[in-house]
Amino acid sequence: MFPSEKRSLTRFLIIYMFSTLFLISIGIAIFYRYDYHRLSDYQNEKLKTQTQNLIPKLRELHKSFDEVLYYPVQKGLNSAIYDIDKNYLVGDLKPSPYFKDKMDKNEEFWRDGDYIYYLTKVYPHYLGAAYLISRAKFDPSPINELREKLALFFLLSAIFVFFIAYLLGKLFLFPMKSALSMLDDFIKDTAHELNTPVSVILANTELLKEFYPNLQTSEELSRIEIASKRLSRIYDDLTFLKLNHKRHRNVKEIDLSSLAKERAAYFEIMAKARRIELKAKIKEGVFLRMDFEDAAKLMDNLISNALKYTKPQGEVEIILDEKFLIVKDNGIGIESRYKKFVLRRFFRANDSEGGFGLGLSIVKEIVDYYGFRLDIESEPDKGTKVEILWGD
Amino acid sequence: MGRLIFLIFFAVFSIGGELDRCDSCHLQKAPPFNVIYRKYLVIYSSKRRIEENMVNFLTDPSKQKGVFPKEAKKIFFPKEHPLYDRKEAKEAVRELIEREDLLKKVRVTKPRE
Repeated sequence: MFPSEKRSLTRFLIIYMFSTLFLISIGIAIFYRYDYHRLSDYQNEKLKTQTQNLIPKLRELHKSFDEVLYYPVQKGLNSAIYDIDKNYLVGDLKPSPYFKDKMDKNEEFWRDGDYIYYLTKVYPHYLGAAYLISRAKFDPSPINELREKLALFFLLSAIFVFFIAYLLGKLFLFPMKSALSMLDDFIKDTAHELNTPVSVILANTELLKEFYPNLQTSEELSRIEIASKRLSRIYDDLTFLKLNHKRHRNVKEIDLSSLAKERAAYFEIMAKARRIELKAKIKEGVFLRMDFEDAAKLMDNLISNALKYTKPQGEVEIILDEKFLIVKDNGIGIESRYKKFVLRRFFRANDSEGGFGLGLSIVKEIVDYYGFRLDIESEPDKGTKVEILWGD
Repeated sequence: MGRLIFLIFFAVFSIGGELDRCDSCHLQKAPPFNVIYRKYLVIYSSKRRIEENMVNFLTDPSKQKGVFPKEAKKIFFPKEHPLYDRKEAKEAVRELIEREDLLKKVRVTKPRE
């Protein structure tokens, strides 16, 4: 999967899932509210019926002339009667100070802790009862069961939505994937087709210089060499990006000082041709654990970029120390609005120079792979300083 | 001697409450107090209201203030109810409420099966 494809799919999945699950959540919330009330109402009605059954029993007591009158006590139900002035009369439900408030407000049902309460008016006032308050333990199991069912439903919905979103994403991204795949193949084929002639040109340039020493200083031959080397680097960059994930890195202790000197010498011809002064302050004996090809690519891209965007008579400096590599120039610099894009693949802030916009993208990939730090400081018309730091 | 006997009689009657004066009639012709209290209780609910309405009736009896139906009055009250002054009536009513309080008989336990 291409990184851009992966990124698009992830974004699509997030947006699709978030919006769909948000709508499902609203539906679940409405259903939960409705069913919660239904289940609560069922328990309220049950309590109401039990309480209403007490009133005929109060009537019986009121009419009875027995010496002892037994207040109707029911299992799972507590009740008490209050007179019209809201004074507690009798019952197996202890009086509570807030009951008076409930009687004032004439509230029918309420919840307090684990109990549901019911208040009803009584008339005629048997035993003097004007109010009858009852309570029963609230049974949370149907509500818990409802919550569990809804949670399961939400989970299954999320899984289902994820699969649908994934399939839709794949379906929508298929044309893009095909186009990217074609582009990738095209780059691979083009790079492959370029490699052989470029290698032949470079080899023959070397041979010409060797067989005809008077051509050593030939400007025309130098231009051919520079152009060929540039083509060769483009080929290297393209193959690096294409085969980056498949290439085996041989990470070992390498002599960065020697490599830096070699690369500086390599770019010397190009710098001279562009009338740019290439300075190198390379500390001896700097060793670093990394793949040799990665190190060469890192330096090549930084030096090549610096040379590319430095005007004639300008200056490019390579500084290598124990803990850092700096490549700085006094070239055209990077406009602040482009700074955040320069590390993106195929981004080019300036079309005046050739290239595919791969240089800094490759540098970033290598830096990220080894956990180095990359700092870019740049000011338009003043120059750019790229610093790579490793170690502490 | 006659004066002494009168004093003894007066003292004996004075020991009983205000309600004792009413009992003679209410036990024979008029409805018994427990019935009256239950009637007032079912209508007025609280002791305060019962007292208020009973006293009003006793100090100024009228058909509107009575709690019994017309037919019952014909049977039980061939004569008009005697008048009481407010203080006497209050005392008698409080005594009645205290004596006939139905809630004193109520127990909050399940009767044995």
